[in-house]
Amino acid sequence: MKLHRLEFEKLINYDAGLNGIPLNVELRLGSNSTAFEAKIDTGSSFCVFERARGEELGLEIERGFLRRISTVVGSFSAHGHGITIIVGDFEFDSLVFFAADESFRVNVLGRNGWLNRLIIGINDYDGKLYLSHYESE
Amino acid sequence: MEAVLLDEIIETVVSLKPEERRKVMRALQEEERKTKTNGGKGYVHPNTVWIKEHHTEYAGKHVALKDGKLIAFGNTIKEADLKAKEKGVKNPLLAYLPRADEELYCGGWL
Repeated sequence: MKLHRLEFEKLINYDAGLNGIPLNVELRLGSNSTAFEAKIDTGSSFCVFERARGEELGLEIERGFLRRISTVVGSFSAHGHGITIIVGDFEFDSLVFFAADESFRVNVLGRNGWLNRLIIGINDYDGKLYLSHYESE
Repeated sequence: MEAVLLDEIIETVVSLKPEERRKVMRALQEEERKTKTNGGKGYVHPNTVWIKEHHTEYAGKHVALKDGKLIAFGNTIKEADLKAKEKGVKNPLLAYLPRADEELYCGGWL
């Protein structure tokens, strides 16, 4: 059997008993920043955060790139903004979305903007998340 | 700015010839496009402005942006990233621009 091997720069331990894989996230825009917890969501097209997080960055949410985002129970409006996203030692500029409705409690790290910027390994059995930059980065 | 001075400016602009007014408008629009400090509300990054203005042209593509300018684009994030690197641009914003008819999903954590 052929074995495949990957090496990672960083290991993040998480509580495998929790609901989801939570990570400490920092968003930055100029001199403004906000830090909070978000969950990895491989089913999300983009990173989606609650409106308040964008406002903490000083953004005018409605001036973003408006799209509707579907869920299993319906859909919601969100505005895309270019910001800096930091998880662990990994920092890059991405397009992320902020929910238009302030009562919407969403903080997820999705495919475009986060999952596709890193090499990721998940050992959910032991609660271990492995992260690396791409070689080209 | 004092209200009196502001009124004077408005009065002056209103009295300009059409071509002079257009020049003022262009200058104001150009100023709006520039990067603002984000100390208060109302900030939007130049990269976001570019995305809003050009997303239909590059729908379904990955783009690399820097300071509100398109550096490169491609069918994959890797293609856009490598093209940007070839041009000597480090750490661009890399973004996928979805097509208008493309459904976006948010998964299970709602």
